[in-house]
Amino acid sequence: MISISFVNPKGGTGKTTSCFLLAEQLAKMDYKVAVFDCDPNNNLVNWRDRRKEKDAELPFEVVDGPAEDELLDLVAAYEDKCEVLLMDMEGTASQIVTFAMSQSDLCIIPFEPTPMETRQASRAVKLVQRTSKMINREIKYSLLMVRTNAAFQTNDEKDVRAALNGVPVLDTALVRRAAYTRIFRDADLLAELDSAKVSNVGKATVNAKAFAMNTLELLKG
Amino acid sequence: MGNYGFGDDDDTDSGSEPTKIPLKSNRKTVAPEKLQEAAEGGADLGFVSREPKKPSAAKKPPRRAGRRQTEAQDKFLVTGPKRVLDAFKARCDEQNVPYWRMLEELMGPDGDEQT
Repeated sequence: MISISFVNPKGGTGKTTSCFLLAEQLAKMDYKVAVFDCDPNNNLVNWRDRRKEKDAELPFEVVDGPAEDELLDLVAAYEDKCEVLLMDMEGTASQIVTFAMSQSDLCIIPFEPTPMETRQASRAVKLVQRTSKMINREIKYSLLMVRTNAAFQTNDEKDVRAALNGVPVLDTALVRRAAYTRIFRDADLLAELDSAKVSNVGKATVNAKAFAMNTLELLKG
Repeated sequence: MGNYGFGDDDDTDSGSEPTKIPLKSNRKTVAPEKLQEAAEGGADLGFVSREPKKPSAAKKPPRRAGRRQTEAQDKFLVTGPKRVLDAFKARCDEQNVPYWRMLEELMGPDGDEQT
């Protein structure tokens, strides 16, 4: 099993959305995927429950988030139940994030390239580096830019890119798209959105696929 | 207006799915003491436990409020020997009653006839 955690101590940075998009794309590629919803906002659990209410397919399993002292056991329990485990962590500086990192093959740190979110993303980078050192194992990590402008790089984004100083960042950024927020409105999959009603569904799908492929490149055997 | 062939045709989804590739995990079992060290290292960066604290068995339950809601209230400051006041507070704690209730009891059954 491969384990990927989505971390950033700031809330609202795109952890849930990027986790969801990766889960859907990997499921479409026939990976057996489970997602731990470790965010107290329970957006993924809520999405799952609404899918069940409307008898819609669940292409990946969504698991209610465990308590801090239960996380390790739950990860162990899923070792043979799925091929890819995704953990959507809460947007606070919480100890459970350290535990999740210790169980991860890859930590993805989503953030919008703005000064405030970049500072918080750097805290997550420091934590993964320190955790990696403490447990004597390399934990791969990568920043993921989200909600970027489709047409051009903002000055903020240019500043952030210039300041990354060698910190890995995924080649693919998730562009700000209406489709990425719409999936949570009616508990849809990206693949189910009606392109006549939601703009640029095709572009959003291409973007999500590229993000998934970039991520897999970091983990291939 | 045409885009002279420089458009972003590649941004439309072709519908084909990328193929599944073998993935490799490098996770290892983490010794509890190493995990504890990692958690302590995280705490230095502000990543601390956010779990609600479980109630301690030793913690005393709050004193009962009694009939406070239905009567006019007043308060006064008592100055006296520490020994006496400490003994009074300790007895209230032992019996889990508010201070005023203990005063009422100490005054006896006719103690509040003046009110």
